[in-house]
Amino acid sequence: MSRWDDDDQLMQDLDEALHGAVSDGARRAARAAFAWRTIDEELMRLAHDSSLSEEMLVRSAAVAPRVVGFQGSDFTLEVEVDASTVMGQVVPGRVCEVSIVTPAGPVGSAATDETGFFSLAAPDGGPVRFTVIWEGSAHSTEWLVL
Amino acid sequence: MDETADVGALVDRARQGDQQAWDELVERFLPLVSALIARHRLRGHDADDVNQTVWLRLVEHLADLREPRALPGWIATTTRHECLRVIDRSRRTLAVDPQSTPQFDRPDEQVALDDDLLALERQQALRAALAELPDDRRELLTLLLADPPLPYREVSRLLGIPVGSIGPTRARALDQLRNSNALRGFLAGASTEQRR
Repeated sequence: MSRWDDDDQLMQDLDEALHGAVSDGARRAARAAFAWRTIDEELMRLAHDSSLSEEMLVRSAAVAPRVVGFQGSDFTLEVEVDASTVMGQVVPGRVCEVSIVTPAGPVGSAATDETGFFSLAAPDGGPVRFTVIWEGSAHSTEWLVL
Repeated sequence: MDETADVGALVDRARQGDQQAWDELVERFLPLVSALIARHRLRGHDADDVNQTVWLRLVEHLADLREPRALPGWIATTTRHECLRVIDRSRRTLAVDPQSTPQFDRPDEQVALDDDLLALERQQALRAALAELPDDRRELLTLLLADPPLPYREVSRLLGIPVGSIGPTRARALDQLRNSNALRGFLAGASTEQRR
């Protein structure tokens, strides 16, 4: 007996196998990721993410915006994302610059107001990171897909 | 050759900025990442997003990776998490560990990794088995798996065989696949190591 005695199971596994082959595009993207290696720059870690919280099971989903938070050593960054807009706050609040960066480069930046609030157009898709210029130095978050 | 020492050396060189070492790490682990993405049935942009995110996160993770032996587990766990995130992007309902940077030190993570590696081997065996088939049978199976699906009439036209013989030919092709060296070898290994 094997899982492949059944024709439909075998076809389904074959389908998965054909899609699981390494593609040139995937290889290029994986190699290119190395260009984003940073040295001695503090990485702001993802502290919470509504898309991975159990709360999402209780709330009846889809309508709730995605909320993510990043923790740096001097400040935190809270971000709320809906279909068209990224709104966020740097805490403690102060005027600084926040940008959204994709693997192809920055796609938008905004100055925060004195309470740390900012608003940016939501990126199109694919992984992004946020970079905050705080007291003259750049702090970047982990990469994530919004 | 000591695989672990080897990965450790590659990680060390990549930390120093050696692109070639990084490319070798990609060659080593990209099959696992691709297999897991396929296993989650992600295609197109969703698949690309997960792949790109996993490698970007590994670049970030290089500096604090203490134990090269944990790398396959870290990559597998990160890929699984990112797959679930992307699935959530459209569905928004699931429960997984909220930890964003996985730790690879729990027994159940070892079980999950074994399962992931088995899925990779299964996919590789199936592709090797397909390569053993005569061209016309391989083409038939590939056409029957086209996305979006092709009507039998179209498959019939493309292969120049009657619609009525597609079903029986598919059955024979699958039998031939089961009897291929690749699948028999895989299943022989499976019975001794209790694979599923």
